[in-house]
Amino acid sequence: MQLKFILNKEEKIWDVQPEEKFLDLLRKNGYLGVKYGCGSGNCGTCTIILDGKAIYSCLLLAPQVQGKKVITIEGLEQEELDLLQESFIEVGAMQCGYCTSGMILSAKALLLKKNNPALEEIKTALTGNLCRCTGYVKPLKAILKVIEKGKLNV
Amino acid sequence: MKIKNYFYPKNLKEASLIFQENEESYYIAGGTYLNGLKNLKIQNLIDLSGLNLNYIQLEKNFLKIGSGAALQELVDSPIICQFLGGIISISALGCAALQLRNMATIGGALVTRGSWIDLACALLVLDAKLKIFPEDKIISLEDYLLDKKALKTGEIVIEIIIPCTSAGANFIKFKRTALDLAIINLATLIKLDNSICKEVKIALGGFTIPLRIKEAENILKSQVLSENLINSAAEKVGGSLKFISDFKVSADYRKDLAVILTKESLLLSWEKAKCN
Repeated sequence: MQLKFILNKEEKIWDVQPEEKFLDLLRKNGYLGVKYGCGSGNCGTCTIILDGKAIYSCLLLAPQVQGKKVITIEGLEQEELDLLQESFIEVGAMQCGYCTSGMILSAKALLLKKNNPALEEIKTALTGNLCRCTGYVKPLKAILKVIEKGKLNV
Repeated sequence: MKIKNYFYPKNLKEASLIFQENEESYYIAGGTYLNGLKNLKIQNLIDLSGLNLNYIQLEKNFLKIGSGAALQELVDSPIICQFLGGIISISALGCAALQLRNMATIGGALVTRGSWIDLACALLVLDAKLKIFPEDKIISLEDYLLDKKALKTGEIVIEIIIPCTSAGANFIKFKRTALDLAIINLATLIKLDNSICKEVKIALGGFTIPLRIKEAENILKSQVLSENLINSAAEKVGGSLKFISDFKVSADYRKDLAVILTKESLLLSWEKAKCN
């Protein structure tokens, strides 16, 4: 079947099998920033933004994306890196890096909804992203830094 | 799993027609439940997400939630956050991680009867009812959970109806970490008439399909409440169920938890009911 949707602001028309997982489809087409972790909706490495909301792409069938808007980590970077990506690098908020793209997208989805979330809200937004290296301290610091910068701009 | 067709019906009638015309058809809402069903012979999937079933409306006597509302919409909705102290929002929040809450719908969560759905406990004490297409048949959530044949083949749950009431309601989930499944979850509701307990509901779940514990409720019903009476109701909860052991905790531990948490929850509900 044909799947028509918007991926990172570009319209795509892909041929897909109805039972295909959206995660597999993205990776097959070269979007390798989205990772396969547990495949059962527990770890969050496959997080993408679908119509403004963070979701697990490993639980999503490809046809469910019909006519919707998808953002992957590749779509955050326009001419330069997204503020979140820059901040994660500056702070050094990653070690093995496997969870990082999912974590950044979870944070991005939160910031799209609310530009000045409290620390507790950030923590809640990250509960679906497991990280076994950083202990979450530096990722939280990186996200808070972006929010601080946002305040300065206003 | 090999799927032949994926349908996008425009309305409920069309969805139901597609279901009748195609063998091995299944409805899909959020789609998260499919992941665990490796052996099902699914040939056709009918997507219900485009049918505008994700509304939340507060009417004069009822709160109406479309079955397509995502669990996160229940957490975010100001109407639901204010409904009886936000018991529905609180129970939905604990169900799963944000990403899963953005996908899973309230209708799908209830229809699949998962014991992990903390939400069902809260909805049981609120006397929730399910509206079913076609014919707009209405059955109580309690009957639905107990009777596996309550929903006939091809029928669709379209709305969850919750009567408005002023009472003290409380929900507790006992778990080890933020995203852990419940070791036990329970909800209680108390409605006072002067100092007499006019209405009381206790629902328990987490290791079983969520159910009401009526033997315990009867101890409190139409009585003047006291801590002693609440104690004996809590003991009754411990005595009226078969608790199970699993890799997390033993049956005895779970039973003790049920007694202690029921007592705690009833006391909190009682406090809240006094404020109404």
